[in-house]
Amino acid sequence: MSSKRLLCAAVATMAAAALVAAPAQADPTGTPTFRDIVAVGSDTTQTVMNGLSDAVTINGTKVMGSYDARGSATIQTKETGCVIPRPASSGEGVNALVAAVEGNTGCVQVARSSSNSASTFPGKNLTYIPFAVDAMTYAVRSDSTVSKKLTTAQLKSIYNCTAPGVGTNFKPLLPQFGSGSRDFFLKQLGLTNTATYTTQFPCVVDVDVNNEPIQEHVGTYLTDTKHILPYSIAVYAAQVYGNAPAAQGKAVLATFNGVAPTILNTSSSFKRDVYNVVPSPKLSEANYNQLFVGGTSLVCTRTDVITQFGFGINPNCGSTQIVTP
Amino acid sequence: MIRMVLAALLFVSAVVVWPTDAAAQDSSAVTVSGKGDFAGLEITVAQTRDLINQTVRVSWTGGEETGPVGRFATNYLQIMQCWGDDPAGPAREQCQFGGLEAQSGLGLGNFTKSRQIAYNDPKDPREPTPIPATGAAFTEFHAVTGKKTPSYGEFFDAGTTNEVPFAKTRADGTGEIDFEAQTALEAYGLGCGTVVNNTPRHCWLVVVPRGDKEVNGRRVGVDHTGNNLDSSPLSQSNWENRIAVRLDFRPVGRACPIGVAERPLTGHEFVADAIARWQPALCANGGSVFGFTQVPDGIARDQLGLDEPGMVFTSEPLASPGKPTVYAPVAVSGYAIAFVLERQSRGPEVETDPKVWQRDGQLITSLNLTPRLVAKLLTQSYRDAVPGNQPYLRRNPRRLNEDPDFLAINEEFKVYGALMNALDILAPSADLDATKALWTWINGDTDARAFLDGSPDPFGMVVNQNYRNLALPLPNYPKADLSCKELAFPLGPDCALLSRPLSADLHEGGRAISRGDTLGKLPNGLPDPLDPSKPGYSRSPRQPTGERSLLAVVDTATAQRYGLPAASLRNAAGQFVAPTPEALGAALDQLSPTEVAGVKIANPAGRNVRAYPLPNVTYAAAVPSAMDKAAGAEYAKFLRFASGPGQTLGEADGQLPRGYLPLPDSLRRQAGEAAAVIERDAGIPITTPNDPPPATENVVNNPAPTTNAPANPPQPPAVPPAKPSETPTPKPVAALRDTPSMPVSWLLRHLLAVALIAGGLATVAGPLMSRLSSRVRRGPEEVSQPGP
Repeated sequence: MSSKRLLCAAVATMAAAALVAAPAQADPTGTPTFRDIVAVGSDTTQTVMNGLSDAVTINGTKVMGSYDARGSATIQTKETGCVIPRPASSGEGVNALVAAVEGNTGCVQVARSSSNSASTFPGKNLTYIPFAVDAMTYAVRSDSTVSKKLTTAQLKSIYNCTAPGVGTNFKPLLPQFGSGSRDFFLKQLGLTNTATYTTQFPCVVDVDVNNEPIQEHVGTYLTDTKHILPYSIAVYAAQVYGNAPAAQGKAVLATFNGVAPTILNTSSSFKRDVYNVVPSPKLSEANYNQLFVGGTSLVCTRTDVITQFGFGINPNCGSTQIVTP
Repeated sequence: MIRMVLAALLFVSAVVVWPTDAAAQDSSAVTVSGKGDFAGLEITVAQTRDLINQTVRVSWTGGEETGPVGRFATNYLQIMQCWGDDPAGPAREQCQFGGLEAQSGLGLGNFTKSRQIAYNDPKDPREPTPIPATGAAFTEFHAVTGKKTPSYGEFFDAGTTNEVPFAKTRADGTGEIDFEAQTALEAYGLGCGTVVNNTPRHCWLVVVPRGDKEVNGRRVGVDHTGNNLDSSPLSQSNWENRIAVRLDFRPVGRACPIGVAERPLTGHEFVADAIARWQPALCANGGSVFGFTQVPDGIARDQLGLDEPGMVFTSEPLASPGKPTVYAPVAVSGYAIAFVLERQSRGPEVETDPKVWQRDGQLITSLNLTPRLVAKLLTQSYRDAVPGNQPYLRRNPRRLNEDPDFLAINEEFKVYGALMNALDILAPSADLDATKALWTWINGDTDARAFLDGSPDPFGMVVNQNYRNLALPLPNYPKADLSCKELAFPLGPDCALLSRPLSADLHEGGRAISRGDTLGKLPNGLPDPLDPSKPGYSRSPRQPTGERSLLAVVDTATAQRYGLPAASLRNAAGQFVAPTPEALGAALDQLSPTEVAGVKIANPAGRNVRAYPLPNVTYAAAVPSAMDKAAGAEYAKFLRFASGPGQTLGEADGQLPRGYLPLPDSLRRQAGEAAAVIERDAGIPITTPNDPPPATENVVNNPAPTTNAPANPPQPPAVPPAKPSETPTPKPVAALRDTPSMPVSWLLRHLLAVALIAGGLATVAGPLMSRLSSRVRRGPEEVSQPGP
């Protein structure tokens, strides 16, 4: 954990506190301190899952505890033991879930994933349960010189470094490898996401000025008027309306492919399902089943919370058909 | 002006194809049409009979453009190989598809590269499999062995499958790919070519065309929930659109009877494909069974010193034999740099002329390489050939297609190389005499030698410092730079040898690039399943068809087998020449003599303007005194066949595969003479040490005078030879190909390289070696568990 990131989080928290009464908390607060169902992973869905954790109860008790992708270096997820490094992305969240299952630690029950990365985890016996819809676009600074009306083809030519002026007039940024948003964004552009993407396409960077990996949906990375950053429309909405810590900085969302970046715009070009990932054998257990499985599950029925945090309602909410190969 | 001449030359070299190419493939070409929404689609499969493990050109017209914006979202073809005895075609359970499911970064859609069927969204009304309450339903794979598996994994996986989940249709509605046909040896779950009731089992090529409509009738971009297709090609509604073409294979494995004594043939890879064709013709009707084992030239030569060497095949002769050795030319081919480079312009946003980007995805068929460019590619000198932006490469272009030295003689790449990522040449780890010839070609070029010695090229590019002053020639391709780029755990270090390895042999290299496979591995961001404290690695995703940019060192027969074009190399006369039959023929006229009369090797310094610099003549070598009379007669028969009927180009048993140049008459005569000597001298022990060497016979290489020499003309042996010592040891089938000494020699070289060159780096690279050593074994190492 870099001091910069801590500072950034601190500033964000302060800003949020100043703006609104109570944005969803970063890590579980209130009682019980430690919850049965611990969720870690994606930045994109952390706020909506924080909100759902506060809103959903079984027999009057809060059972879900969602830990942010950013914050202290480690998190403690259970009353005893279970001090683990804080998973900082969708990929790290699924890693932590796999580690908990394979090590039989019981520290993590659910991973938040902002993309269907099931194919990356063959043999791990996981189910990706969609619960909301997000859409991605790109963000630039409000004082940016970059057009806010690019098309898919134009954006592709920027991210594969072929557009004239790329590197000078356009400086594309990407979240770190392991980010579900990065994976989704590159796939949608028809580009292959690997750990070495920025080697093949050197005009793209996935670290900030301090060489720290770029986190998802943090507008303060836009330090240059030429910068372009993939951004979640849902997260942006939650940030600017005070339902999530205000990390948007000077970022404004673009009208990508002519579709306005309004909340819940399911006609967006890069719309995507977002998932909670659970070990497939757990689907039949009561807690998991009530919370996640099927359209009538506790999570799926709280469409008020889902939309409050900027996400769209997923017609396939609770489906259990996306599994690891 | 020079450019125009070059362009003209280039054009000529591009249109000259192997003479039998068209004829052989046309004879069994099949064209079929789609139905329903795909009625306009016409698919041509260029060869449907006499197939071996090779590629088959599949081309089509009347499709819709893949997209939008070149993405695999809608309108593409999904192509797979299936088995099935029903004349109506295969069932979906019999198809090899889904093996690439675990390759992230390939295509779009939740289930498009999966065997998973029966989902709520998109719900297929025609799908008989019920939608499971929880979890997933997969199409079982029913292997030809009778075994049923719940998904992929046991019979095929990402390392072995030939499926093409996403084949691109261009804006004009056309497209093409070279699809790898697999026999039972590559896909034992399909069993194609296995002999059943004296007939090789046929199989099927199945194309499932995809439009923009999902199985529930909804359209992508209109009312489908996703912005791309999601369902599997095996989902019933998609499967009903399939187009199946019957593929007939040449018999696999049992071409020759089991349990009969074999005459061993041992030698280099250049002759492997020809021998595989000759074997069944030779053993037909009770003929002799010859088993072939592929080994490097040096090992084959060493075998000549054994008690019973049989017949061996090499390019260069044994310099100082212990016993008189007879040489016979049996095959002529070329040593080539094959490539799969598909047009990748900057795209519609940047290229103003639609005619430019509409050709994106087409294979480029000609490529000019100078010795210096090949030296750059083989010495990890492009910046991205080594991970981590090494400071000593900082002034170098990142890749071949950005090198002004390259673009100056390959104009087309200025436009169409924009998105390519050609970093190096996939080269074999096996030692080859031909590799020495290739390095000699480089070494003999002033510019290339100066570059290797550290002089920058005219554009400022320098050799990777780990190769500076490289002593040449070498029989192999050293990987002298083992640099890694450190990445934060759970990402592991990205290392040169892991991400850009060597291939086991020429065939593996050619086959790999034809599938868009670098054979490399990249950190996957997951802990190693065997030791979670270590980072995990996965196979690099295959480059999608239409976006490939790979090169490999191969022989011309391998290039033809896998549908790979070969680069035009600049010969000593300054001309760029591809390994066409004409250019190989011209090269034969300027071969270099060796210390053994009648054995000649490639002469890259030859100045014939029309000659390809790297021909290869395969010589069969035998020691008559080390075989009995019967063996001598059979090896003589082999030579007469190989240099006679076996030199007719064609696809049938006993014919010469494409990629070989039929032996000219002079070499045939030489082979015939050698056969006569072997037959004559076989079984005659060397009894007269002080006899003078035999008269000038340019097929025999005698040992130095102090050693024994044969009687000549042959005298009846003083002591009649014992009963022919042929011991009919039953051996299994005549081997077609084999698993030669590759893993060992590869590992050895790796160890040596680490020890000698990398020095201190060894401690870093060491822990990776055990992982690396499993690279050459294609196996279910990446994916062990199938679906549910």
